[in-house]
Amino acid sequence: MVTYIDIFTGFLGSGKTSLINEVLKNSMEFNERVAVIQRETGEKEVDKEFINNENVLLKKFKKDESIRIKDIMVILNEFLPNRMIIEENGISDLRDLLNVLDKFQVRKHCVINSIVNVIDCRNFDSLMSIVGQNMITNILYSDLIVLNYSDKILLHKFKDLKKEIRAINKYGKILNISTPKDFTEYEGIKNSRFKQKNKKKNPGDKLSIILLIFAMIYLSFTIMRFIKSEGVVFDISKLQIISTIFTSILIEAFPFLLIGVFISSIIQVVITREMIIKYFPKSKILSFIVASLGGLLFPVCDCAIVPVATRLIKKGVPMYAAVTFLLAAPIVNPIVIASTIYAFQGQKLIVALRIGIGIIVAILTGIIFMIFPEDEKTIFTGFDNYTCNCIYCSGYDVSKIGIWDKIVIVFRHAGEEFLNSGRFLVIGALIASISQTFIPQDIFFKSTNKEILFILIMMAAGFVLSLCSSSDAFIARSFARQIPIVSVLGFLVLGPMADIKNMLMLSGSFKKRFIIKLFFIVFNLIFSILCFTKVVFF
Amino acid sequence: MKTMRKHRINIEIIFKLIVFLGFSVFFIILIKTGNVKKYVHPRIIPYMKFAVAGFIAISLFTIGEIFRTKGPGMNLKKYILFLIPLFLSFVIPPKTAVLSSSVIKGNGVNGINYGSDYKDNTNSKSDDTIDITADDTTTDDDTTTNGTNSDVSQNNGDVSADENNIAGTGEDYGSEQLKIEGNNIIVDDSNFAPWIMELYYDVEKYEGKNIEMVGFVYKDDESLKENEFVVARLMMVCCAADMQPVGIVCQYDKTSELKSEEWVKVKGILETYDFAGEKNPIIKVESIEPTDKPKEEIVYPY
Repeated sequence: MVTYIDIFTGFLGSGKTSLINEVLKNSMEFNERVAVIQRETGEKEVDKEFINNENVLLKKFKKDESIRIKDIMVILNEFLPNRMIIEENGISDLRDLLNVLDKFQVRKHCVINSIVNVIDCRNFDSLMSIVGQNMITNILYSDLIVLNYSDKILLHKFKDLKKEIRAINKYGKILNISTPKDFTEYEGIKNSRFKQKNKKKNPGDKLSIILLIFAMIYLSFTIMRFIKSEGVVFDISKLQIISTIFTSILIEAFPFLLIGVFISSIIQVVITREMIIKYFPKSKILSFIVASLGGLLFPVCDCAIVPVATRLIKKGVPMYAAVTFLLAAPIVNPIVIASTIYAFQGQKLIVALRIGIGIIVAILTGIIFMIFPEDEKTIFTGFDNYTCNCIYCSGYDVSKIGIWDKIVIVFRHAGEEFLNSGRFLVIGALIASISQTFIPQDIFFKSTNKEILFILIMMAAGFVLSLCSSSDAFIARSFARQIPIVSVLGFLVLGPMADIKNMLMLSGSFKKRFIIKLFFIVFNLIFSILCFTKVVFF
Repeated sequence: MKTMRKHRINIEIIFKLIVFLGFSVFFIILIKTGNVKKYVHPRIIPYMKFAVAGFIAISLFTIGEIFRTKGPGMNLKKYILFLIPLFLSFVIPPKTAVLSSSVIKGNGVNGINYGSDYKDNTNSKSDDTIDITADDTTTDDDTTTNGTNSDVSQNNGDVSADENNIAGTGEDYGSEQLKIEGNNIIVDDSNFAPWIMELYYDVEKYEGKNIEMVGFVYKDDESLKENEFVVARLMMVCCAADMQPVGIVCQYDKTSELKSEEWVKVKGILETYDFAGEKNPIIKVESIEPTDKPKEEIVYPY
C-alpha cells in the first residue's frame, strides 16, 4: 500500500489548518485513513470531529523539534494511513523535511502527492523582507501556491504579488481564494488515490502524444524516401538543408556554450558577492579596462559569454562593467583574434579595426549605461537577482560547504544552466537556419551600390546569420571581395555583439526593455563609428 | 505537477539524462562515422570531444538525483526542444552534393568567385585605398623575397623565376601544397582550396599552363554561357551554414552533353577573362573524363 503525503507550508495565520480541515472533510467521504503531523499550532485547531474519528491520527511536534525518519516510520507502520498530511511552519526550510522523506525507507511506502504553500496575501511583502530566502525556497518547491484572503487586498497589489510568485516558481499552480471554504471547490484536494483512478488523463498522456508525433514524422519520412527511390519526385531538399544547417550550428556552438556554463557555475559556487565587492577595481577607468580586456582570459565565442556576463552581474559586478565585458569579450579574445588574423592575412588594418572598434563600442555602451543606469532590480526576469533561481543553489552558503559538494553543485548547476541557455540557442539556430535557406545571400550583395546602405545591410546580415564569433571572420572574408570593406567591418563587429542567437539567450535572464535598449545603443554606435571610419581610413 | 510526483523516479532527471547522453551519443556517432565532416569543419572535432566529456560528467553527477522526489515542477517543453535537433538529424541525413545544388541556385554564383582575395577589389578601386594597398605591398614583397632567398639557397638557383613566386605566394596562404609538375598544374583533393585561392588571387602568373582538376559539373543558365560550366567542389569554411560551391569556369563545346553534378576530371589550358575589371581564370577544356566521387566530397580551407 502506498501512502500519499501532502505537505502544507506557510506562516502562522495564513490558513493552513483551515485548509487541512477541508482536505480531511473530503478524505472522510472516501473513508481514507489520514495521519496529520503538525509542527505548528496556531489559533486554529484540527476540527474536533476529525480528532475523534478513528480514521484520523493527529501527532503534534514542538516548533523546534524536527521530524525524524523514525517518527514517520512509526506512524506508517502502526497506523497504516492512506494519506499523510504534514503541516510545516513557514520559517523552516522545506528541504530539510524533503531530505527526510527522500530516504529510501520512507520512499518504499510513500509518494509525495503535493506540496502546498499557503500565503496570506495581506502580509506577504512584510514577511518576505524578514524571512526572505527560506520563503523563496519554500515557494520554489511548491506545486500549489494558495493565495489566501486574495479579496482583502487591492487588485493591482494582488497582480504584483502573483507576478512575484510566478517569477520564483514558474510551473506551480497558483490558486487564489478568499476564504478557506473556497478550497473545497478546488479539484486538486480530491486528488486521492480514489480520485486518481477515475481521472481520464493520466500522466503519461502528454508524453505518449509527443512520442506518437515523433514516430509518425519518422514513419512519413521513411515512406517519403521509399517513394523517392520508386522514382516519384518528392522534394524535401529545403527541409534537409534547414535540418543540416540547424544541426551544424548547434554542433559548433554547444561545446562553447558548455565552456561558458562551466565558467559561470564555477563563478557561482566559488566567488561570493563580497569577493567581487572587495577585489573588483573601484576606479571606473580601471574597471573599464579590465572589462574590455577580460575576454582575453575567456578563449570562447559569444554564446559562452552570455551566461558568464549574466552571472557576473548577479554576483555584484557593476552593470556598466558587465555590459562592456559582454560586448567586448566575443571580439577581444585569443581565438577570435587568431581566426581574424588568419582569415585576413596581410590585412592588418582590418584586424586592428575590428578589435579597436569592438573595444570602443563596448566601452561607450558601458559609459552610456553608467550615465543612464538601469535599476538592477528591474532588469532581470527572475525574482531574486542575487541568487541563482535553480534548485541546486537557492539558499546555501558557499563558504560553508565542502569541496566535494562544491564540485557536485558546479556540475549539476552547469547542466541546469546549459539547458536554460541552450534552449534559446536551439531556437536561435532554428531561426537562423530557416532564414539562411529562404533568404538568398545575393540580397546582401546585389541590392545596392551605396556604401552607407551596404554597412546597414551587412550589419543586418551579422544580426540574422548569428555566426559564432570564432569563425565569422572566414565568412566575412568571402564577402570581402564583392562589397566595400567598411561594411564587412560592420558584419565583423556587430555579429559577435548582437545577433538573434545572443538576443534570445539574453532574454532568458533579462527583461525585453533592457535588451532592446542595449541592442539599440550598440547598433547606433557601430553605425556611426563605421561611417566615421570610412571617412578616415578608406 | 501533482501527477509527476506520483512517480518514484524523477521524470525530469530522466529527460535531462536523455538530452545530455543523447547529444553525447550523437556526437560520438558523428565522429566515428566521419559524418561530422558534413556538418562542421574537422577543426571543431576536439571541441566536440570536450563537449562529450562535459555532457557525460554532468550526467554522472545528475544520475544520483534520479530517485529524489524533487524539483519545483517541470517544463517538458524545454526538453522536447532539445530533442528536436537530435530527432531531425536522426531522421534526415545530412545533405549531399546533390542537394546542395539548390543552395547554389538560391545563392547565385557568388560562391564560384569565392576564394579570390579582396585585395583585387581594393587595387582595382581608386586611390582612396592607399592605406591597405601600401600595407599589402610591403608584406607581399617581404614574403616573396623570403621565399626566393630560401628557395635559391636550397635549390642552388636551379628553379625558374616562376616557381619562386609560387613558393612565395603559397606561403602567404599558409600552404606549401601548390603542386606544379613541369608545365602542368595538378589540382587534387589535398590542394583544391589553396589552388583556387591562388588562381583567383593572381591568375596571370599561371596563364597558358596546363591544368588538371577533379570536381563536379555545375551549370547555371543565368550567369554562364551555353558552352560554359564550372568544375566545382563544395567548400566548408566553418560549418554547413557556410558551405558553398567553388571552382573554375570551363569552356567546353559539348557542355550540353554533360550532366549536372556529375563528377569529372577536366584537363585543359588555363586562360583568363575579364570580369568586373579583374582577370579571372578560365579553363579551355581539351579533354574530359568521368570519374568517381572522391572520398572527401567537401574541401576545407585553412
